[in-house]
Amino acid sequence: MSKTKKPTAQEELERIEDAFLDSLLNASGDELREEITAAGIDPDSCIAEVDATIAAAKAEYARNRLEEARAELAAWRKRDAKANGTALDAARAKLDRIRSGDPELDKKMMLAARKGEGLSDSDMEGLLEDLAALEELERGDEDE
Amino acid sequence: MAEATAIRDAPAREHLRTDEIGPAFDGLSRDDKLKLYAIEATLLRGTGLGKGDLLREAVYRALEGNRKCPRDVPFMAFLVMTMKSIASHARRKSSRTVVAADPPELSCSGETHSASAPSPEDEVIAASVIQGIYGHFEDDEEAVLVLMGWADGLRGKDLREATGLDQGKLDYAIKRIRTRMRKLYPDGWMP
Repeated sequence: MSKTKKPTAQEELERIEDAFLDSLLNASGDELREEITAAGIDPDSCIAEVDATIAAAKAEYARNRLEEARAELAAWRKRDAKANGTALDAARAKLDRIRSGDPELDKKMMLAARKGEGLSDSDMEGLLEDLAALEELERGDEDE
Repeated sequence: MAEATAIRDAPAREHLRTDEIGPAFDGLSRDDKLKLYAIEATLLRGTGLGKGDLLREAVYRALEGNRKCPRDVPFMAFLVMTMKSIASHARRKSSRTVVAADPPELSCSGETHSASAPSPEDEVIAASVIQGIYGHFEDDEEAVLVLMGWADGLRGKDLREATGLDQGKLDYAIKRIRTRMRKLYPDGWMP
């Protein structure tokens, strides 16, 4: 038969605290108001303090969530820019390969450029982006 | 498939979701807020925390889901447990108790206790605090009986039987304890 271990003084204090907290939790609002007033404290100012504390915690939480979201967005943009850069480089290399494998096309493009009818920088960028998108689509088809 | 969904959704069914926590705070009544004020004040001593810190930390942990509120526990009781847990952890951190291992952080699932044993010095201090509390009620035998019952872990029927008080007298003795303790120990009595 095991003996019941005598609680330490600290455990007894904890138990008194727990029971006291329970009694506060179970007290009626009127009782509590009366007791707080008897201690020289204004119950309404207590309620206002609690409201302010809850609002401050909510605001701090929202601020931290926003900062986290911003950091995640920045990280995603960084990854995305890197991925786009890689795709554009690949498209540029492909265009160079097409031009070098098709002397007629290369010649036409050079002539057009001399006459000022060549592709503008933005035309070239658009063309490269289209090629990159096509590459992506082709890769998608292969995966399926 | 249904089984997998059931397992995935289990925590959401057992605990309030994070999007339910905000409305739960909005639903607190003025009486609830008064209770939170009084309860935080009782827990502050020995934590090294300032007024409002315990409640703010409890609200924050609830919002971020660090502490989860079981659906079968009233939200107020959950908040009190969370504040009590934060206070106990803060006291252990700043106390002189012999700690066998590094105190772990509070887990999401609830209270965690490090393996610690009170030092003889802590015991002497705690015993003297208890004697001090009883001493403040030497003119109120019923209150002392209730406090002794609480120290033994008695509540409800067991407390009524041990003290010999009916429910009405017990409630009145507890009210006297609350009123006097608030004046004597405005921020709690834990060493």
